[in-house]
Amino acid sequence: MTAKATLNGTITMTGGENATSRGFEWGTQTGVYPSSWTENGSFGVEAYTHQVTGLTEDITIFYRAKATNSEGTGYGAEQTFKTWKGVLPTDSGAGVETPSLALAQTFTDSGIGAEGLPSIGLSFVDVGSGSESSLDLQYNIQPTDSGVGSETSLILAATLSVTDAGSGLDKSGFLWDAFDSGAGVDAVAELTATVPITDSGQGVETWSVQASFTIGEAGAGSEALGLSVAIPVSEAGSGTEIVTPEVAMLLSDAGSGVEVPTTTFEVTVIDAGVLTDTAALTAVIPISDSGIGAEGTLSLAISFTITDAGSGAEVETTASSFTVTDLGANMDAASITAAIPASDSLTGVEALSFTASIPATDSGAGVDVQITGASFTVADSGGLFSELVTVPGYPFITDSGVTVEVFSKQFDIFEEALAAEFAWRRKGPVLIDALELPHVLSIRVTDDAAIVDKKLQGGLLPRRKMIGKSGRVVEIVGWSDSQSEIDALEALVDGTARTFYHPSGDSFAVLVTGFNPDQSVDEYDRRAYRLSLVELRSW
Amino acid sequence: MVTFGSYPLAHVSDVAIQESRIISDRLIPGAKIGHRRDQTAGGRTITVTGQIRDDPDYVLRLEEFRVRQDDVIRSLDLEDGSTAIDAKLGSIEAVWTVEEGVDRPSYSVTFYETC
Repeated sequence: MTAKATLNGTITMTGGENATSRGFEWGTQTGVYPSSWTENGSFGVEAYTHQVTGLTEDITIFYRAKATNSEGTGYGAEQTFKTWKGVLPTDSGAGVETPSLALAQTFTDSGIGAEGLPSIGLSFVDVGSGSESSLDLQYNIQPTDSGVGSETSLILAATLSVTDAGSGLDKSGFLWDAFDSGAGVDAVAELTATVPITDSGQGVETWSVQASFTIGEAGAGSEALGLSVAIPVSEAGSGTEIVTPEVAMLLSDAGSGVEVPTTTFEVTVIDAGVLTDTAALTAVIPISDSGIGAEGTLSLAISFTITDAGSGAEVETTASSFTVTDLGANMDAASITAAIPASDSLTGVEALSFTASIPATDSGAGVDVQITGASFTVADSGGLFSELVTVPGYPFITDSGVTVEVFSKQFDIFEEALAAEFAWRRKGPVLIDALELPHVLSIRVTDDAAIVDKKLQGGLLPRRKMIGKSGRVVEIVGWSDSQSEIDALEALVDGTARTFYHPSGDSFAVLVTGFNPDQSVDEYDRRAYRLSLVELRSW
Repeated sequence: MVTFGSYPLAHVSDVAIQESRIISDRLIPGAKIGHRRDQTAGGRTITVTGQIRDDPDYVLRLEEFRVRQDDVIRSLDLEDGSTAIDAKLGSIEAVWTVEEGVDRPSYSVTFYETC
């Protein structure tokens, strides 16, 4: 076998007269150049190359560039390189042989300018019995000129394919070891790539490694393919940050046919008979560099705990929906929790928190709950702080006997004044007899004392005397989005003595003297109303 | 602190005083103006506005107002340097709103100066 090489030279100055010839001379000893190449013409300040073939393998070559004009011949400094040595593979019978080939290349600093770009092309063709003589191997070395000193960066890309060759080692490419497992695809060893990261100051330094694997079906037995990338994360201020992702792909043997890696997360609850069924899902998602400060992570945890209700599957979860099937005289329960904090975005909504816990009370035939969806509207508070909205749960469930009960609740975040109303409602309802007044916004209680004046002639002040009290007068303002509620309030104006219950716990007998609802509704179909009460004295 | 007798009014935010005189008119036919005579003082009407807050017994505080609607003259000291006013408690108004909540009713009480 012989080797070849491409020589590079540059005419750096002509002294005002172009060169009439240029070329190279080379040999295997320093200072001795038995071989040469020359081309004639008119050459100015420019680079030129020449490919030399028929060189001996694994030998050091000494060469120099030269150029000639009427003033004489000029020579460049002596350069050296070593030619490659090929290794013939050993015939393995049928199948393409893949030899191991150790390659080493040392770059000699050429001062200014990128060092030469070597390439090697070798191909092997299976000739049946007998050794193959060539190998398909290509890699590119692309050094970046670093000025003075040898360049050291290297870009290496490889595509790996494994074809089952029956008995014997399956080869997958360059610098890989495979272990024969008899029939079926053999396991492929690890590919390790280490790429140093240069600190760029602010921002995450990133790099990527790509590798593709093709596994041929080998019948019975699992093909296992694992790919893991571990990059520790540490905050270094203005230094290099690195991110830790983890991806694990496991293949389950599916008998005949190519196995497929699982890259999506699924949660399936399988009935375990009389045992409690559980399912959990956890994902950790690192985020990009934020400049100063350690990068945190978003974490999402959804856990489902289902109380066993006898035989049969209890819950199947899809996204945020639950379906609970009535399984007779046992308690069914479901819950969901999601917390999604976010970093401050100055303008725009920052954070959202949703908690809903809907326990169900079994009533013999069974109370079942189905969440059909929830919507949130969060008002932006601007500034530098996160908004956090917690939506209260409203477990309004009415047992319908032997059928599955369902309810859906749409959570709307109203303007601030009305949001406070929900807190007031939990403090205590406003009632007239057993009727809860809807969405009360204000209660005004006036207690007047009747005072008469007796003017004194020439006196500075009148004499005033309280002659009695007429009783408290109550004015209630609220709103309703239900016509049935409006009708129920209107029915109170019938002259019947009733009891008014204030949310503070105070109560007294009243007569409803007036009910005035607005004639129009707002964009939420809400209608304001005003209710007037007078206190009744017991006789 | 504004006090009515010995009872302190909570978190007073406003005091309004209305003074009046009793003037009698006697019409004189054909005259441009009638005969007016100041007869006596009408007595001041003082309205105190405030809020009950940070007090778990807010219901009791309102009841303490109501029991003083008893036709008894008490000294109303506005603590503004003026002379205390002898007055009787007239009307009481309490207002609850969702913004302030059940625990923070605002109130308005009216006192009538008397002798």
